[in-house]
Amino acid sequence: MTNPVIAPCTSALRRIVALIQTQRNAVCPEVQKLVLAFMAISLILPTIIVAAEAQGTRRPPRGMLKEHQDLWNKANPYSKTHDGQPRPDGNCAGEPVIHQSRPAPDRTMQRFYIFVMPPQKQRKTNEQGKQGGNKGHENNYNPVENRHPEGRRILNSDPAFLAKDGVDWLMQVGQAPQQQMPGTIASMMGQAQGAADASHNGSLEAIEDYLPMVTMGNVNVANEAAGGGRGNGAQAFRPLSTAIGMVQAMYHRVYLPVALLLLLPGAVILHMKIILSQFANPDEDAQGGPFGSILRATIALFLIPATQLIMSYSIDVGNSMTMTIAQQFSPVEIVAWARAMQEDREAHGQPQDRLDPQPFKDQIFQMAAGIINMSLGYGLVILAAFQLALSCYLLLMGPIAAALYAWPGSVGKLFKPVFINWVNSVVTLSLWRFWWVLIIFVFVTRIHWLTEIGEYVPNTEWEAMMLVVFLVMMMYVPFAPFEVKPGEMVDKILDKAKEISSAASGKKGGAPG
Amino acid sequence: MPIIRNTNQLLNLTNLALAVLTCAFLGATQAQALPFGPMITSTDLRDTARTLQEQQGKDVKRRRLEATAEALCRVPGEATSRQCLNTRFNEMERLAAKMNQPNNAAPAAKAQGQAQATQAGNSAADIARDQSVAAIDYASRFLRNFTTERGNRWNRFRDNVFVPMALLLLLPGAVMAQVRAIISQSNPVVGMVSPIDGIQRSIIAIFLIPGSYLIVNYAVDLANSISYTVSTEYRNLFGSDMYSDAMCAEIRAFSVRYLSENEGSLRVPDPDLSPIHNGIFSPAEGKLWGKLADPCAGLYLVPPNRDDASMPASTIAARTVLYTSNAGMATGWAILCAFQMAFFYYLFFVGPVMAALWVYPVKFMRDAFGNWCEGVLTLCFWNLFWTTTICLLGCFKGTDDTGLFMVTALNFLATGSVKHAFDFAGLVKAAGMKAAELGEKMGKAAAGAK
Repeated sequence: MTNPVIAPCTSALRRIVALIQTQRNAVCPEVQKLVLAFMAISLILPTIIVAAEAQGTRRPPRGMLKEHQDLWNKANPYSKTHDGQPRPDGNCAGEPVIHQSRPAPDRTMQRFYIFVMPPQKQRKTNEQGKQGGNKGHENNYNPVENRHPEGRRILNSDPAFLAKDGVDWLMQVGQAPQQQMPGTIASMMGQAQGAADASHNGSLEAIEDYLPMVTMGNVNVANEAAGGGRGNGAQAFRPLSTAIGMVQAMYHRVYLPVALLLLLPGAVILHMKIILSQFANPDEDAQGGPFGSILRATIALFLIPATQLIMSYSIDVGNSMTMTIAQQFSPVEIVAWARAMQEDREAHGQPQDRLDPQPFKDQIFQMAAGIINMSLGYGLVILAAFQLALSCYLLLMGPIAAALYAWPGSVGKLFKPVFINWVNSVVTLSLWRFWWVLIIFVFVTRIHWLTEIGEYVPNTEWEAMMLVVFLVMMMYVPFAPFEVKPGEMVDKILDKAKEISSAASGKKGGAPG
Repeated sequence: MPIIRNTNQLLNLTNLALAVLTCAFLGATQAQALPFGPMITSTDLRDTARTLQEQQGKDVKRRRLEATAEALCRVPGEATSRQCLNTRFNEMERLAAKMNQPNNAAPAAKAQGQAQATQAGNSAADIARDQSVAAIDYASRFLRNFTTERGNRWNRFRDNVFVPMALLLLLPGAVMAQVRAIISQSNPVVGMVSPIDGIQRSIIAIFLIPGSYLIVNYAVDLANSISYTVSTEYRNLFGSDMYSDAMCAEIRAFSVRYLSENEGSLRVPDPDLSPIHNGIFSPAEGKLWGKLADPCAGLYLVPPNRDDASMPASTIAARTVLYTSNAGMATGWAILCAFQMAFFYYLFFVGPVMAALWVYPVKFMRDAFGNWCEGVLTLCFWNLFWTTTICLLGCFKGTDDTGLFMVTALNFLATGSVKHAFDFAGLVKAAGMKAAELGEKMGKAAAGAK
């Protein structure tokens, strides 16, 4: 069997020739032209589409700024006459970039580093204005006749033509991508500047409010003398002592009796557990012997009313330690330190011709630093309120925690360990102000010491960093004072530094993400 | 036999062929968008910029405004006040309409976004370079040993405020510890301890309170000696200053073009993003850099075909993410240099108090002094971590085009190493997470760049 051969049939070709001949004979010339045009289009169109696709595949748009301008120019021919001109930010002079050692008096300098890099100038000089460009009426100058055209009476079409052309020029040139650059960047930086000023002043206000508050000491919510009556909700304004009085009333009338009620079942359950565990698997509850439950219940019975005493003594000890330190300095010095930095910043950023003369990077940095400081500053004010709120909460929870001491242990973190956790939190909370005042004292001492040895240089970047460190320490140290882990605090500092990178990427200050 | 008998037949055939070709053409163009895209509903099809364009045209009567403008141009005769007024009204209305016309506003907005992203990236690089150079400069300096000057403010306050406070705190602690020791002899419900636990601990604490001074003093000296040793040996071995080399590595990684270094207009050459060196990361860095500057090597290249306006949107997005991340890390590093000193001051003051708490019968207080010692020593070893990182920065300078990727890794190390200290496993894990985070950010930025 031979393989079939696929080839054009000669009879088919003959039929096509005959078809064309018939068509020539039968159709009028117009229709012939129409058909030919149609056939040409049907052949050329796919070729164009394929070519365009291939072009697109070879070099896809990459979103370059120049591409935006090129696209605009295609649709707006007037713009094309202008896009060779440098942007209106002009032929600004390039200043050398300098990196050099800066003051950091807490560290001893070994070598002064300086790197100076003069910039290269890439800018073109301005081109001569073209049609509709910078030359204005000079465009009408006739160099052959060496004169401008003579004036004539204005026709009705003149203003209409000027207006129409004027709008088109304005839109095509003024709205072109390259015209957007300076305004856009200036707008972004203007927003950054506004945010920097607002946040810096906000942080100063927060510090000014917070420092006197913290040196006064915490209100002793467990002291009967601190409570002043019970008040009622109908009063528009009530003194703080009323709220304390209400908390104390709740303590006596509700939480103490509840604790006593909780004590009994706990003691019974513990006793049963100890008796049962004499036969198998004695755990830590059995360490006190067969009467351990009774002993713990007795201790808990004393602990329940003693919680008020523990709370009161803790706050008093914390306050007395705070006062001892607070007597050594004036908090005004820290406010002055922070304010000096802000005033220096404002002096550097004093608008010239309505613009901040500082480099963009400084504006961004200041904005980020301001936002960080403000969040930390107000965070501290909120923490001062937390201290009071938590003191009241812990006072109320104290009897319950003490009652649970008579309950069995070894149920995770429940029952017996609750009381020691309560003591831990009471001690930590009462010392919050002490740690805050201590940190303030450290920084005041530092300023005095540097002033004494003649190395205090206020308003430097180092001092701005010290201010951030000061606020971060205030936010971290009081909550884990006995776990001295600088690595943990690095996390806090890096979190704050992340805000700087967010600000630099434009997430604050108006730029796109 | 003729197939086409008359003109009507031919016309019908032509129409049919035209219809088939039109369908095929439309099908081919639509097919690009439809088959693999999301499901498109009739609402989606209307929610486009083109709809907005049409609607705005209707609202401002764009066609009528254009026709009026044309018609006004054809009004014959000398200028009349009526013509002037009509012209002015038409001019203002056309101007307002064109300004807000979506297809006029959209290209401008795209360019604005691109320009802001470029500027944001450049500012971030400036901050990253500035802060990392400052951080290296700070790290190159010795910690001032503020404890050595007898009678200075630190020692005066420590001796007069914190040591007495510690002694006062010691007494109740010792009593409580001893009471607990006595109780525990009769019933172990409060734990098993030595009968002289309180006395024993208070005697030790009496020595620990003043001894805390020496721990801070020695730690500062140890930190300084570590830095000195590493930097001196670097100089002896390689003949250059370690800190200078590291600073130049940072400058090289984060050099960006300034206003005067860009051409200025948008008529710029196409970019050439090929690398100029053959380092491991050079191909990736070649796509990103706009300027190469290394003052230690006398290198300063600002090629015209790497103008900011020439760079693709993907480059701008990637640069912005890398620069902003480094700005954060470098600023964090510089702040940590300040923090190291501030925390030493704080630890110096609280040392006696922590020593006194060692007597107390509560675990978290008893552990405080051990934690304090650990804190002081860890803080002093920060110098070792930083000096090692700076040494690596110096070693890797010039191995790639800019060294941006290597410097990013080392900047992370500068902050990550002090955070994790000797927990190297944690550091390695955190490095992996950071790299993933950066990759994710770059992906998002690239997706949002167009």
